[in-house]
Amino acid sequence: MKAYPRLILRDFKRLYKKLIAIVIIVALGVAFLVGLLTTAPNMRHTIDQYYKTSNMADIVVQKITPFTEVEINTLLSAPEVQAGMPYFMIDEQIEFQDAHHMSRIVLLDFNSGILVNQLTVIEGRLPNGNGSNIEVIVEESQRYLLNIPLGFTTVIQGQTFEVVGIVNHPWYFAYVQEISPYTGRPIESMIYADQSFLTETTFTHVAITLNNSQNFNTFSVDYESFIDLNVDRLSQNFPDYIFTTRFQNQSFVKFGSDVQIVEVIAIIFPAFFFLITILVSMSSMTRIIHEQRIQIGTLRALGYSDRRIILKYILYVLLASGIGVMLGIALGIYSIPAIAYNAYVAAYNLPPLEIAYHYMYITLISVIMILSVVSVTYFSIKTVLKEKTSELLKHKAPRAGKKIFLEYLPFIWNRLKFKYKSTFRNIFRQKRNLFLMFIGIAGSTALLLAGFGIKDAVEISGDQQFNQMYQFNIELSIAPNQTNLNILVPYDTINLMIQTAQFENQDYINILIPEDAEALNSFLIFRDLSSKTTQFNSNSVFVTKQFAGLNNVSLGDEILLEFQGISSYFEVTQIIEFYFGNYIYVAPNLLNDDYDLYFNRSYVRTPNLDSGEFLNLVETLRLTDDIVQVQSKDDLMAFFNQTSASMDSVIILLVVFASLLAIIINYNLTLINISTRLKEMATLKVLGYHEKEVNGYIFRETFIISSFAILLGLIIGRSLQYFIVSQINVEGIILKNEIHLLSYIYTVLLSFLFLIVVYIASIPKIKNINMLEALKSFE
Amino acid sequence: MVRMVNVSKQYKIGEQIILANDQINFEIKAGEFCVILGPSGAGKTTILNILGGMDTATSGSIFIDDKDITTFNLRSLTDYRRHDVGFVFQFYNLMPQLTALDNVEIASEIGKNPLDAKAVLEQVGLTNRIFNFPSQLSGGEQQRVSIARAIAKNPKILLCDEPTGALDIETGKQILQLLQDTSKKHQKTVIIVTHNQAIAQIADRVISVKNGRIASNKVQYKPKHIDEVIW
Repeated sequence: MKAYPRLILRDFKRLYKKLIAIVIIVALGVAFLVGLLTTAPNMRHTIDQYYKTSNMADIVVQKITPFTEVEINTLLSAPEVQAGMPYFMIDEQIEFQDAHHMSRIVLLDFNSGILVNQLTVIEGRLPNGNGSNIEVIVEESQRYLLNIPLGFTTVIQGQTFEVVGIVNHPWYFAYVQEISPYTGRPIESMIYADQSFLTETTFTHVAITLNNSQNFNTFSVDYESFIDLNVDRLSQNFPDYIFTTRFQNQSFVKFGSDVQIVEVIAIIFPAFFFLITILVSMSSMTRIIHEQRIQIGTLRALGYSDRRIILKYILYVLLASGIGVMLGIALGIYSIPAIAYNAYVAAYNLPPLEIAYHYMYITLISVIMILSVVSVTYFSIKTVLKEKTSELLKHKAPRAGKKIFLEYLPFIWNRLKFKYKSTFRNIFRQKRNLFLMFIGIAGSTALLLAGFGIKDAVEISGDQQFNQMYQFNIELSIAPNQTNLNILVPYDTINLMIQTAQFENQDYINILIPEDAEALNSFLIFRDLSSKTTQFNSNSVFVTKQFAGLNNVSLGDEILLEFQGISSYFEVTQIIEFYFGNYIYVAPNLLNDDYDLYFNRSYVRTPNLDSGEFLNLVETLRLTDDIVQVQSKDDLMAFFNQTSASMDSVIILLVVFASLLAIIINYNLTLINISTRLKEMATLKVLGYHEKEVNGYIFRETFIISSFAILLGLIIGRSLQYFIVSQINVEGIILKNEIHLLSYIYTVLLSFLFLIVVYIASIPKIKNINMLEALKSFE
Repeated sequence: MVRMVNVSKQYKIGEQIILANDQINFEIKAGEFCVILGPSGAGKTTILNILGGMDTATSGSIFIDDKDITTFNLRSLTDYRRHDVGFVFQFYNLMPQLTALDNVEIASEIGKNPLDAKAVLEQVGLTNRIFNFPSQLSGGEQQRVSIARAIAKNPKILLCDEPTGALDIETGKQILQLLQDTSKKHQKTVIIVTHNQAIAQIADRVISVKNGRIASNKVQYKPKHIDEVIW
């Protein structure tokens, strides 16, 4: 081997620890960014793939009366349609464990094959029609669906049905409550059977996939316009059909909005840390080059060209950042999306995560990272090489001390103890290093607070809506005008009419009309946008904040609402705070006589019941004939709790990663600080400074800087939380921009804990500094 | 009083054992101005390190006023350096971000019975330079600050490692004068380690070191004045 390559190798052995530090920092920064940026796309990709492999219907076509064979054939031969599967669907009561349960029964034709909405068998098998019983399969149990075991049999109209399989249907992958459109009752099981046992086949639905739909990602805007276009075309040829798309599918919509929340949080969080990562790796590399001045000078004196000298360091930095980037990509792609995705198992029955590589992101991130570190290395060698060779061979004189601004404030300066004077001088001397430390700590503090703050915002919003604003604990859906039930007499009750209305001929929104306007105030405490309580009265039209914002509705506007086939203008008298759901509350006297005012909803308050009595009441209400649906406060909060639980896990992930990065960056900067000031510390030891005092000499400034950084971090964190919370604006969810005091305390405690961890980790480094270093002529 | 009794020091470098000090015995009386003389590699710096509590002897005893510092633990050794030893470095070792005054206070601050930092700087002739930073001072001035730092904590012994090694002859002489004055005026034991034989002429005692052993230990009853010394 020639001498120069040998030197490169030798030096590499000497520098490898410092290079490994760069590798780790680069890897973490890249992992954080790549991981979080690909989390949302990968979650969408997984569901998209699931839809594609199971041939999920793009559109479900319905008609008031069953389809005839001719109609089905005409529909299936339409140019837009790729494949179709007719089926019969009905929601029926079945008996299971001595109780009646609303069940969705779907009759398919297994023999012709399931072309659309393919079922995934979890347990057992699909029906084959060979047994003596009629074989059925059921949807896998979840929060809202009964656990009907394999082998369960039931007799309906003299025929025995037996469960032979447990399956997943792509239409129902979110744990949300499906409501039977025919009866308004919640569906408690879904049963699929072959319809061969019927004497005559009937089809109420046709699930179809569209030509070319496989070319779209189902979550893309393109897919949305593709569907709009096809629905328009199909509606022209089949005017009385009802078309239900994925955009009306609860699972699809809920998943889409949950992923959107992750995405908002995920983009803002890592961008900042990526920046810090770049800064710290650049600073480490600059440090290495400055430590090697003499060697650079010697090589030059020996006649090596600048190009060859530069090459050596470029080689190192390419190696370090290259390995770092690769490790980071692997770590980021495989760990973070999987952890985030698994956070959603509580709310979804998800297929295994499919990882797509998103080469655009990966390439961009790698290029930015490597390019910035390499170019800084290049420029700092260039700067060193600008000096004369003779200068390079000498040790650079330490940077001169300067008067600092505090000295111009004698009333402060003269009162400072000596050790603080020297600390402040050190701070101003170590500007660059401490500035990076300042940014790093302020940033990680901000991320911690923002993380806790988002969690708080969700929690506070839930508490506000369900505990502060809602003054009822049961919501009943009741058959029209059957609201005067004996069983409700002992409790405080208000009846309302809920109607879906079309707003300005565009969006649909639920409007709620109470029987008695003033009485509503004791069941729902309304608040205006400044959180002040506002009274609902006989002239009131209250619009929830999110709906008002999305549709540019302001106080005093006349809005056009159409329901029961009648259009009327209503003057908006208040925009109200509301965190989950969108409604317009309208006073009953504002409806003219053309409207048919009936009541189909009740809010019930049971202040005197203990929890056992309350559960009994709920059970009894469920069995009451005219009551279609009973939702206790817990049921109402279930959706909110799910969202909040899955967000928690994502936030924990972010907080852990941010903390890790904060510690490593801070540790690295501390090591740089120590190595820069080795001789100072050795001298202090010779002068008889005790270990603690030497540590203090180095760390006092770190702690002072960090304290200011933490303070600033809290301010930035609050703004960041505000920003993120305002960005989370998915349909039906708006969050209150508030934060618990406790979160500030946790953030400060954690930030200091990280500092202490770094401090403890660095103590041995200082302890091991040899006093004899002080006697050497240079570091 | 400083006394070394049978002090040896071994270093292990890889497989090789190097005997830096071999059975060193000498005694320096309180208030003496002593020069330890020897070529580089003779082991004089090792003597200085052990004497200064920066390194420990492999065997033997070192008495400072009847206390054997070889029996000290790390903490007591630190206290010994803190209170009993003032150190003057060849390359000054001043903190570049601190003023001359700060650099002296860094030592006086932790002393048991320190002298006033400003007064000491005046004494070494830097009255007008106390607020200057090291980069604004000449080499000789920086060494004066270093001496002031060593004196300010009011130690028993001043240990000086080639204190004139980085200075020109004239400045070097001034520094030696200052050290000699300090020794005489304040009754401090001053020990200078050097390879420069000229310096030996002004010492009360000259200890020569060769190959890790004491070659000679002479008392000079009439040391020359610094101005008489020809470099």
